[in-house]
Amino acid sequence: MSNEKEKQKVVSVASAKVVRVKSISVKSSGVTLLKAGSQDFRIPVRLGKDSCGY
Amino acid sequence: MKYKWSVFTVRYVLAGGNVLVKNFLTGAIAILENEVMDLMDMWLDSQTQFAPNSLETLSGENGFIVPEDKDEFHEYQNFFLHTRNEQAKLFTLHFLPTMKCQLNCPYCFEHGVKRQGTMTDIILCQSICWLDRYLEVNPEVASLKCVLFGGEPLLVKRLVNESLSKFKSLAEKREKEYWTEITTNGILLDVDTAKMLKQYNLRRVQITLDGPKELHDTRRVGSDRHPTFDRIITNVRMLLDGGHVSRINLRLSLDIQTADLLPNLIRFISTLGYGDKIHLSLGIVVPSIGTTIKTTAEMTIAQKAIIAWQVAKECGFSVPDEFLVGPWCVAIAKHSAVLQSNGALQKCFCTVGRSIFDFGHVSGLPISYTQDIRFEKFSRINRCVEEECPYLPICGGGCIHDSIVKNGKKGFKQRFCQRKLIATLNQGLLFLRYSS
Repeated sequence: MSNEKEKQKVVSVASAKVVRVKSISVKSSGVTLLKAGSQDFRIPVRLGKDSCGY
Repeated sequence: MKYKWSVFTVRYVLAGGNVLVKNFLTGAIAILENEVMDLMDMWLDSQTQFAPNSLETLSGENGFIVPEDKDEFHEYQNFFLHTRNEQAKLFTLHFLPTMKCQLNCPYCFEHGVKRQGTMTDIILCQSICWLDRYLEVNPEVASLKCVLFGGEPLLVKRLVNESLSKFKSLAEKREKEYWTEITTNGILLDVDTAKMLKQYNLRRVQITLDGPKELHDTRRVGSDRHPTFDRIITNVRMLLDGGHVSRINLRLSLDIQTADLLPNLIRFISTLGYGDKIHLSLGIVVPSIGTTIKTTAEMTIAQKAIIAWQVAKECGFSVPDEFLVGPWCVAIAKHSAVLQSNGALQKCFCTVGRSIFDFGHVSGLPISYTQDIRFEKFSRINRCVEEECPYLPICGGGCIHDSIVKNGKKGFKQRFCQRKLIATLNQGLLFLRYSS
């Protein structure tokens, strides 16, 4: 998939809802990481939860 | 190396033009200035000049941006199967000492099944032998979790005590970690029962409320229509005041009848004054094999859920940062079983009492893991992959039980897509966490 199509897809998923973000300063690089990710984040033990309302 | 946006990255435009991004595989969340986002989009289109500074933060473990040749869905599927098959160290046993229940909730998925059965001594004895053998032939299992389920398990307290004692002793003999959880209607909890359960390393108590007292007492009642709300709240107080549990999970039913009343219920719960000792969850009421439920549009349910969580946040309760649907459900876990009072084994607790869903019986000793191939139709996510759904890591093709209810036997092979619900609710939860 081309980058252009990729861009269209993610934009179509998100809606342009307006919210007010409280006191989060955007770093000089222009990116503020609110939560670090991990490639094995979805391992259930790490999640500590599963579905069905648990 | 060339890069692209991850298929699992979703972006949300904020006030002023900045963009909140979340990657649904890695869990990473970030805010990008709109100029930085534009710059990155332009650079990704051409990739002919030096990469923007933000690339370092957005790639790697955070995974917002990934190498262009990365086949993310293929890698996700491999990762999922590897985790499910090779890293399963927990055995979750849903234990149903009885199918009886003193309530007659209109939406119960056990409607239409015989409710007389209580486990006999012979079946309990066979269950212990079966479990002992299971732990022997599956040595990778390091932990045993017993979830008391029903029917209402506290209708047979003596049997619960005897069973848990045997499960715990067995786990100790096999040098496994052991703990107990209970899903109960909360009516028969008392100090003696709480002390009894605590002996068996009780870690979790889940009780359901169907809206404020006025509504709850029309739905979660037995044939005598005797109200139950006040009794349940008294018992919640007893458990927490007595320190029998550190926390109670209150599951609030969410459907067309309760939705607009949930804020009142949540405010009432906050007046009990237990703060974070009460953990809230929303249980969306869905049709089952034996019941027909008037369903509401996914968007409406999502919006009602967000309103409820907004109120919960205002009241100081912890609010989840995302809404998961199906990928790590106990029914598709490698080591999991629903042990019914007649000794029959199933994978999904929503199908209990219906023998067509049995995959085994405790009278036959296990030779491998608790396999029911009907719950291993992992190709059911193929359409999600074709559609490049960014929510696959938190959905996994949706609930198999919901799919069976909708599609019959074919449902095992088919996904149950609730994309609008997942998209809307996760966006709402994200904004709730990061907006004022």
